[in-house]
Amino acid sequence: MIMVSTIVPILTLCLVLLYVVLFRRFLKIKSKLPFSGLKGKLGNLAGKRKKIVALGILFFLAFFAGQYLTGAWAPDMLMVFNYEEAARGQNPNATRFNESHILSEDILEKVINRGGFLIDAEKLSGFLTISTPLDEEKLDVTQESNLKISTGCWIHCSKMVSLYQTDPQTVLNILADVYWEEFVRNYAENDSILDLSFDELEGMEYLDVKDYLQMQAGKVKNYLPGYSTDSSSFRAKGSGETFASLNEKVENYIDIELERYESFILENGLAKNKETYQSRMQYANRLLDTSQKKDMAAHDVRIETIGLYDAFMTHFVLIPTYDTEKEFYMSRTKVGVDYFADEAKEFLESATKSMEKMEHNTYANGQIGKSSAALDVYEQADRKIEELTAELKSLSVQSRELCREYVEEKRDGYIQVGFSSPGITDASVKSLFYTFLFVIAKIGIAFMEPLYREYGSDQNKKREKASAKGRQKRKKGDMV
Amino acid sequence: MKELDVFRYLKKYRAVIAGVSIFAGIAFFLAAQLYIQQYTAATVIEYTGSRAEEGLSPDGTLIDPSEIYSTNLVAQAMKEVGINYTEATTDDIRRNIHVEPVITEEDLLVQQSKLDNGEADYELKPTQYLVSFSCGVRNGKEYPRKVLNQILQEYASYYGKSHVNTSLAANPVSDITSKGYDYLEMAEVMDSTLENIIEHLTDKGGWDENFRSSTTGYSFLDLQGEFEFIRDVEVRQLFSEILAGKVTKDRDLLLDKYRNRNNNLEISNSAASFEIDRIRGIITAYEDAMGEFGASASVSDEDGNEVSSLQNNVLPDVYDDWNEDEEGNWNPVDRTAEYDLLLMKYIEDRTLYEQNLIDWEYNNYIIRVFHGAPARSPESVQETMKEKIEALAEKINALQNVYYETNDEYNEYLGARNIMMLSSVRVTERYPIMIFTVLIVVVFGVLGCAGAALFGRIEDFIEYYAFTSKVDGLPNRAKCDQFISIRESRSIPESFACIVFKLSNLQMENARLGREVGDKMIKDFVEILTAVFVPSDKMFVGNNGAGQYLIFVENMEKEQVNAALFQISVVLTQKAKDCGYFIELQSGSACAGEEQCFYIRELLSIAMKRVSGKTEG
Amino acid sequence: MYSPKIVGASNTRIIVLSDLHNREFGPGNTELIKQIDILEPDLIVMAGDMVNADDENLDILLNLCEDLLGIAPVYFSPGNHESYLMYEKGILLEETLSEKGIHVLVNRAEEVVIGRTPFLIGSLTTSPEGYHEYGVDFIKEFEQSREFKLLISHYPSLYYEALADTEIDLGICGHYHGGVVRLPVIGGLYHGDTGFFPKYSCGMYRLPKSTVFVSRGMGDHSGYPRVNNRPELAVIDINGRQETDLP
Repeated sequence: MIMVSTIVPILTLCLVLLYVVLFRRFLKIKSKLPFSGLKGKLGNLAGKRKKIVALGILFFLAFFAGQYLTGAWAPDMLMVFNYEEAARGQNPNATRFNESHILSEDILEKVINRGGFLIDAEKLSGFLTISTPLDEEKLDVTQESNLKISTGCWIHCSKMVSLYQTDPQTVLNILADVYWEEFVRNYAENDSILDLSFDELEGMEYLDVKDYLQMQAGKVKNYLPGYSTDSSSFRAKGSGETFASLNEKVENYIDIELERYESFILENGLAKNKETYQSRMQYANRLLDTSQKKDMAAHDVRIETIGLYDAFMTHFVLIPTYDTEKEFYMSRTKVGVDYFADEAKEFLESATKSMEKMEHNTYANGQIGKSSAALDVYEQADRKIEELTAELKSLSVQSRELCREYVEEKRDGYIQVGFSSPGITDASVKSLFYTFLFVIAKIGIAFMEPLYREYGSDQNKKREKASAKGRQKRKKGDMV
Repeated sequence: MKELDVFRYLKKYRAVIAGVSIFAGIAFFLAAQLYIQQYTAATVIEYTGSRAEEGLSPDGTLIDPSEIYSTNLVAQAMKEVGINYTEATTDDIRRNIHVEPVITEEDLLVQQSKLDNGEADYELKPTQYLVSFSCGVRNGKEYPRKVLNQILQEYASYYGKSHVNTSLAANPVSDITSKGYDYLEMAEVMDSTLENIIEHLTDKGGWDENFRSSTTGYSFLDLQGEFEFIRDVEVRQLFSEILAGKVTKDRDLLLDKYRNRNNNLEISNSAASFEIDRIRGIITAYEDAMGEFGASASVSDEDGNEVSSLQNNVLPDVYDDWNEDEEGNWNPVDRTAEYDLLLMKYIEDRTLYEQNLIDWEYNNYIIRVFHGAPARSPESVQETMKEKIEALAEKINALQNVYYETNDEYNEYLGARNIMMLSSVRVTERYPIMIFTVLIVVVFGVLGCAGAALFGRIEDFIEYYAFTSKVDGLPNRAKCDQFISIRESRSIPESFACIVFKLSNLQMENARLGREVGDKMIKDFVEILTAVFVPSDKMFVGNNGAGQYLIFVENMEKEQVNAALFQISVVLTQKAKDCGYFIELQSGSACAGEEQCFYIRELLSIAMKRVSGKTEG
Repeated sequence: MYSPKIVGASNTRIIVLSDLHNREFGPGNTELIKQIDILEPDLIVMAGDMVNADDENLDILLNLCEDLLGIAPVYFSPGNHESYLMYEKGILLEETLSEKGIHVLVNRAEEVVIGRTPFLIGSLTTSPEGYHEYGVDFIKEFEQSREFKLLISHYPSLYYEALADTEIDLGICGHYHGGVVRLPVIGGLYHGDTGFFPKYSCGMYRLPKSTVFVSRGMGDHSGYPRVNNRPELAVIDINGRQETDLP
């Protein structure tokens, strides 16, 4: 096919040479050209008309075929980024978009591997160019309307790539595939967090299972809000779920299902390894106790300090304002005591949380210690774990499907790729124009042919012969 | 000499003028394209942080666009793009990057109106900047785009890391088993690290709970959950196993470490206790002094009622002031009252004291637990424990790497959020080479014309002084020889004619009538000759010397030659009669077609041989 | 080829071998294997007629399959030549290939996950004449699946009527040898089954509910030379990248 791409340049060159010959002959015999009797002389071309027409048609067909086939074999590729952030010059994850990355060394290496091409990345880089439609316009910062972000770029692959046993369209296709994959992998929505792993449940304590499942469910719960703020009304085609409804399901799973499971375990005091678990709970309580004591110490010190604070040392100003309910409220300026009270409150909250955890651990410890559950209770617990795992998996799958549908609709594949196809009209018009030039040149040459034969270069040979004959005659005459 | 006729010169040298102009144009075009032309990649960025209009980054530092072309960033960008130092140095690139603020008419109007309104210290702080990079054409049009894009990419990431997301949780659990810690210490290190990470992630999750990494799929809250589970379950489990099994590498060393910790705590408490006492003293003295000050500041009237007092006196405005430090940064003035500062110090010391006591208690617990432990735990137990710790450390490391990757992307995200692109990177040619080329062609054309006119005129002079006969103004013998020499190697057309005239009695008439008459005779003859054979490009009329005149005509038939000769003889006869002299004119002619002779010398030779004694006048 | 069923940003590469007719590219098909190895496929599909009905020696096929198994899973759908050997001559082709680890599918399907995308790979070995008797039930069940449905069927003529309205993500066929002589613009010239200018002779065809790829094949048995019709090693990349028509 690379040979086909040489047709147009060769024909153009032939055309140029034809005109050079035409002008040269014209210059040689212009004095002999019968401009006044031009019309008459043109009639003499009748015999050559068919030949010129035939050549013209051949030229047109060859030019058209060369142009069209070359355009079809080596098209340009347009990559259009059709997600919302593209118009701001960003990737879907709101990081900066860099179009030069399309032809980076990494990508080109992958293209070469994918296609099995016998070329290195540097050479391939030389065959590829990228441009945006805005490159034609110079950047004028004074005009706000001139500040635009291009959401598409053209990529062109040189025909010379076919010297490496491939063709431009294949290279561009593979480049599009590879870049799209890299783009989606690095910048698109990533739902791999929903690939919940339950391998660690193997051998895990029953109460730890609750925490683990809660942590995993938390991932699903964290994943959904990002979408629900965008589109609260979006509904999955198959299940009819919305983000809000799924979010509620997950919350119910955490608040109800897991709580129920925990209650069951605590009630029956189930543990896979009582001593180990109890030992851990004891240690955990010790740590929590230490933490709680520290928080209480910090709290107590602040209360003590508030007690020390001399009222005389401060002055308050009352500030009339509104509260959050838009009702009149008398606020006042803050002094150090206010901050100490705030801090004391925070430490107290922290200490309370620690205490709650300690009580829970103590209770669990106690329950496990006095438990004498039968084997079937343990089996029941195992079944519950399986059910909970299955339910969470299902929630994860539903979330994934909903989010995926939403992303598909919103992002429309992120990148659309199109290949320029050679326009028949454009190719025809251009071919016709060149054919017209060709025909004119041929007519001109044909018209001047007889005159050139008479007065042009061939005459020199005749004259030489005649001159030689003349000289011989004169010599003979002289001798005579 | 020929008349000054510029168009004649231009016509004569038109091919040269055109050729030189076009050649100059092409040469300039090629040279300019290869060596002068530059490609410029340009884009416009805008700082969009909440304090950008004050000229400040989110962390309060001044926005400094020159960071875009800092050495580190440029070097990093070069590395990513694959430019090595043999192709370009960092300075080569930096030199060609330009960052200019974009100040619109509107901005200037706003500034003017603010200054007119009396805001003398108003300083326009641009938020939009034009960033451009120029380079030669050697590396192609893609090169500047690639370089500028990468530099801006690096800058966005750097900006996010340095001016927005400035904190990063450390990870000291790598190689934990090779640092000489006992098992309990290793567990403590892991626990402390996890606490630190969780606190850090809680803060980050609070700032930006919606951020989710595209490469890892994690958000900060997800990572927090994972780290919390590891801490609450796996690390706690590790602790309990170590304590329950009293696993130790060296019991005595471990006990010594904890005793030493308690010693340090005691020392710390001793110092804290001392400071607490002193601060209480200061506080008491301060309160007393303030009390006296308040009483003495009160004013009473005649009845002893307090009329005014500094107490409960409130100023009408809220005061907010800033100080400029050495580096030119503006910082809010700390207005915390001295009394509150004293009490805060008191709280700090008291809290430290109480917490030290609690830690001391914990350390004693550890000492009690390990008091009954063997000097060294059995190898198998140690091996198992080491494996567990390594597995846990590996898990934490893996998760920490996920965090780093997430955080790197977060930096890029923050960078892009704070630095918006207003325009795609556009690559344009810096110089309009085509316009200059056309200009060059025109200039050379004009110069060529001038040169042609000058050269032509010089040629006229040379022609006149070297190749023109002064007597009759015709080309002289040298010119005739030149004419023949130029044409002798190529053939002449069939219609070429050569006529030779000879004024055979010129010397005699000169002697008889005088030189003046002789000259007049020649002039008259030449006048008649040139009237019939008008000199042009196709007709050469020359004085070959010694009264011989040569005429070479491109296009004249035999009959025309004869007619011309007859005409000359008639006119000449009449003229001679009128003027009173006698011209003996001999002529000979030869036509190429007639003679079938197509070389000028031969034709001339034939014509000369035919110069016969034809008596004229 | 675009498919929304491909999960994530992954690419599934399928190599199609068809109508080999015991030909060898290099001794022991080393050239062919080397080329396939370079391309790193996820799946290798054999669309039938890998042997000749008049040659009971299966060594070329067996050796090729053994080597290809080291590269990717191989799914085999018998063509008319294999059917002749199996049912008329009683050659245990299916069993022999299955023993080697080749997935030989005869009017049945198997599920497989490639990357994260579940595929249902089926094979319809019957000709159009026998479709209603042997194939219709299988296709009815096959069509119900929501996975990516890849159907290997040796005869492209099945898509003229029988499978014309069937929802199949990708159908792979062979049999026509590209029409033996390929004319520019027009396409394949002739095949004994359909006569001149067979409808689907080579390349990718988009039907209302399905996409069909017809391989030009790699060998021949009739003795007619291939003209403008080089042996084809087809590579089909399936991913989520969409293509659009430019104005």
